Amino acid sequence: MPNKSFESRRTVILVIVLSIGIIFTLRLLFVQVLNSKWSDESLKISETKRIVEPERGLIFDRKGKLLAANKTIYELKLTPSKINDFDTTALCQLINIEKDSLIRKINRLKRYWRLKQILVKTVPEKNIAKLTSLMFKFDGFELVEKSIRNYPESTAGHLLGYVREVDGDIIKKKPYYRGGDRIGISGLEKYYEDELRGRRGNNQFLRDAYGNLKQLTASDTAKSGNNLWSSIDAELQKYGERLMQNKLGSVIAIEPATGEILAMVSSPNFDPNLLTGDTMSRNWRRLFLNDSLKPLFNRGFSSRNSPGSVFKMVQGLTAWELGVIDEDTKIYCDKNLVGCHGHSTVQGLADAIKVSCNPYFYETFKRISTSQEGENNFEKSRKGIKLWNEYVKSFGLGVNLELDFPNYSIGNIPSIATYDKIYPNKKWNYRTCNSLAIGQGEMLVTLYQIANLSCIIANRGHYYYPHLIRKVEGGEIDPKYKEKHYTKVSKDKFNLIVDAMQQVVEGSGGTASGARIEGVEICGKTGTVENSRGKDHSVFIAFAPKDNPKIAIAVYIENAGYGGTWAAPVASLMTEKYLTDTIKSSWKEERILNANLIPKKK
Amino acid sequence: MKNVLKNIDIQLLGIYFILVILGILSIYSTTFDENYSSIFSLNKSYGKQIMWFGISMGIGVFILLLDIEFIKKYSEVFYGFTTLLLILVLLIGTERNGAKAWFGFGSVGIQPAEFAKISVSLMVAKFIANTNTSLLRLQSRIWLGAIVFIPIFLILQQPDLGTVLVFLGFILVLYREGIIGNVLLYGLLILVVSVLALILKDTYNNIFGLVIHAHYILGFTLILIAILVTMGVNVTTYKRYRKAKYIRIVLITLVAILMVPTMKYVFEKIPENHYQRVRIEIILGLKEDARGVGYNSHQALSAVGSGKFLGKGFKNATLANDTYSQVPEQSTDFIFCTVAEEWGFLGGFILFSLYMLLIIKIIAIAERQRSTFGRVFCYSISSIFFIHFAINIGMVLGLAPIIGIPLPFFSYGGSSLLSFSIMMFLVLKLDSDRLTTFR
Repeated sequence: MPNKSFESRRTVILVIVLSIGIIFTLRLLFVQVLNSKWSDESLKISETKRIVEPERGLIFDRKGKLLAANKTIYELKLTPSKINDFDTTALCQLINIEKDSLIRKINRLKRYWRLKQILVKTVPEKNIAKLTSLMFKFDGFELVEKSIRNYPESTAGHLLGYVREVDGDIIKKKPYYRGGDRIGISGLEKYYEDELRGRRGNNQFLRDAYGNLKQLTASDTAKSGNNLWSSIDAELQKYGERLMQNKLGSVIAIEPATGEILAMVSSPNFDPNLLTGDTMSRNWRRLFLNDSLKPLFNRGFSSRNSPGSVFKMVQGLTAWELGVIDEDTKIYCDKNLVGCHGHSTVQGLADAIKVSCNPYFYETFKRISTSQEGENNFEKSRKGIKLWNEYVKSFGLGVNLELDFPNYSIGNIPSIATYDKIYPNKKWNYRTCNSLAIGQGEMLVTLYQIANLSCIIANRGHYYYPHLIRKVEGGEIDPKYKEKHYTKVSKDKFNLIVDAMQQVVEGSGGTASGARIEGVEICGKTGTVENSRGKDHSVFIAFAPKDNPKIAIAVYIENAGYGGTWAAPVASLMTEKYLTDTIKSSWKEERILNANLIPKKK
Repeated sequence: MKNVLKNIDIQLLGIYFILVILGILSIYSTTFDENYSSIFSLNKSYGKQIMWFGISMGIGVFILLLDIEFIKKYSEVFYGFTTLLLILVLLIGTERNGAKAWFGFGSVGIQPAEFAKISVSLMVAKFIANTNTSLLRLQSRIWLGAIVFIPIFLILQQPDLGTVLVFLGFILVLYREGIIGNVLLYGLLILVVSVLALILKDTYNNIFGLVIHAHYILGFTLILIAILVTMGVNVTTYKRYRKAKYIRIVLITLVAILMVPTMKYVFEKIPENHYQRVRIEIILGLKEDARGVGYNSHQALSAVGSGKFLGKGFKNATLANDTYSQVPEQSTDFIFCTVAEEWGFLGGFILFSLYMLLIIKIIAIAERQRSTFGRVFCYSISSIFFIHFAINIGMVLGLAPIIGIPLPFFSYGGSSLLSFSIMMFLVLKLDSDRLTTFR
């Protein structure tokens, strides 16, 4: 048989078969064991991560009312490539939009054919249920839940601040954030961002070839942000906002025993809900750029002004502590020195405060300098100012009071350097700067410092750093807020001042009889700050009750006139509201509510 | 029948059963659905496959009862019948995946090309057996060529490239019978080596921390094959002929090894963006195109790679099954992905070994046949299994282009399981009758 001679060819065939077997085995070994490329590739195509956004922490007021909350809204997203014929009219009705504008919007999105994009930022709430049940009719459209910030009390906009989606700059600076994340931009939302934001979760899924999630393989749960309990009293805050409507200025109330800020009204103010949701940027532009009264500006924390006569207590206490006067020192009301009001003869320090005698405090200021050792008035004044500056600063004026707030001004108490700068030849003495004695001149302080001064007198000589948050979920507030700070003036001298301040309100001839509250012992001091550009600023500080005070308050109304006329009744109404929860003299309230003290534009 | 049972090759039958059962388990694994409680259901592909297995067994028993002379006698009729079906399918067949290759009966489809493989094998075997002495005549060769090329031509019209490639397996048969010479074989060697040299030209493999260019591994493999051949020569050749063969083996191996760097050098002489070069690169898979043309291969290799050494376990695939559908044609052409993903390198290696065993076993059976008809037929069947195995696994492993062709006994599909089973039982029947056949 001829084919027998080809018998050896079976070896070749066997070799071919075995070679394929060997090649395949080696290849399989590379693909599966020796080389990780393909197993890495398999993870790339089969695994996918989904971020779980944490719920942002809530902010409560001191009585448990929700100041800042979260609200679910629905975005309508569209993937143009997946779109099919659909009932345009029905969709237009559901999302409350004109047919033309819907078609225009869809056409705009078609530029990115395969990308899922936002078509409508907020679908009207009342249509959600209906739309959800009809979504199957609209191929390519998708309803996506989104959480936005919401401020149920519509109050304290300046304090709460607002949040915004991060932009490229923020992501570059803070690597935690990713596109679509929100971040606090101002106020408590900014200062307590790390507490409020929580920690995002990460879910790992196996997916199929079409991108559908099939199985959860690993989960790193999201942690909601910590809730904050604020010291704000929402009722008081809202009442203050009402009282201050149509006025420029601010009101700050603090609980003296703790330094907790009860209310901070800066007028004009704004509803924080304006800066949430899809109308945010429009509203922001309106508030920030197009409003000459600058409603976004926080006057209470950032505006720097002269304190005016409310400073006289500091001046008097400093002079007394330095021994240049005592409680009975009488000083002639020399109107050549500085203008004064027609008042009876001053019988001592308490009386000087009650009638707010300007020359009295000029004299105390002079005495601080002249009592120093030195060759001439210039040198004595230098030493005097230095000492005076130290004492004044111990009252928390012109120093950083460490607010738990992202931005606030510190102000400035003039020092040697201040005047050396103005007079490089150093030829200046106490006469150059004696208007400081009555809280005028180069002295610049902020209202929270003035309110704090009120606390100091209420506490008879000590204060706590004012703060807005009294409790953080799962943590403690900064211990610095529990630390007592003392002034350089001994505590026993304060009772005289407290009595004097009571006389200011309740004594005959006091400057603030408009601040009286029936049944409450209230202590106060008026201030009228000279203003070169217009009407005087009306200032008032107060605390009540006299013994064991529960509230200390400072009011500053720009261009309103005498402190006793406007600021005192506002402070009084706030105090009465906080202490008794009612207002007995409705005519006083009426008068304030109806007053429009915003200067007319020329 | 008693005779048949006594003489049947139990080993081959055993391999057949193991492969079919493993295949059904793999199909079960790919379609497994936790929410679907019934184990056996004709609605599910594994249920249908079990049914086809039953039908195959019935036909197998029927074949074992037949007289082999009957089959041999009617080879021309079978051939004529399947050829007619191949013509008919072009006229009234249904089109699936771009090929008019099916007769559809509801959800069941019959692919005549599957059965043409059998009838051509029978026809070739009978023709060679009957024209034994005159095979070297041109006329006989033309006849033989016609027998093979008429079905190839018809199948090309469908077009079903995969099945056409399977018919090229007859080259091995003709080579074994001395009808075609070594030249073709050398040509094949050159083609394989050049393709491998190009595919691997920029590949580095990290073997236990040692980074080695893949060309060295290719060279090493060639030497390994040469050693295998030498060992084969030692067994089969008389001493006095060995020296000449050794020289030839050394020369061929040298040429093959030298070709590897030469191919790389020549190829890189072609300008980078020349369209011919780009075309070759895409065919060879050197240019990745994971989302487009290369999608299937990319997904399949990812599934295979994710299996690592021991695999993820039965029913635990996370790419190659119907739940994740990361691999297309999961239970049919790419069924090996499931095996590789769930059983890892170990399972894949065992499966390769089973197929090697199957192919070599049938070659051994072919060689022990007393009749030319039996030998040629068994060789044909072995070649068909081999080509199926080589192309299917080569495709999954990214060594061959993506050509739809089932893995024998494993892939889901009634026609293919039935036709492979018929081949298997014909081999078993022929073999069990060998002692009674004198020629």
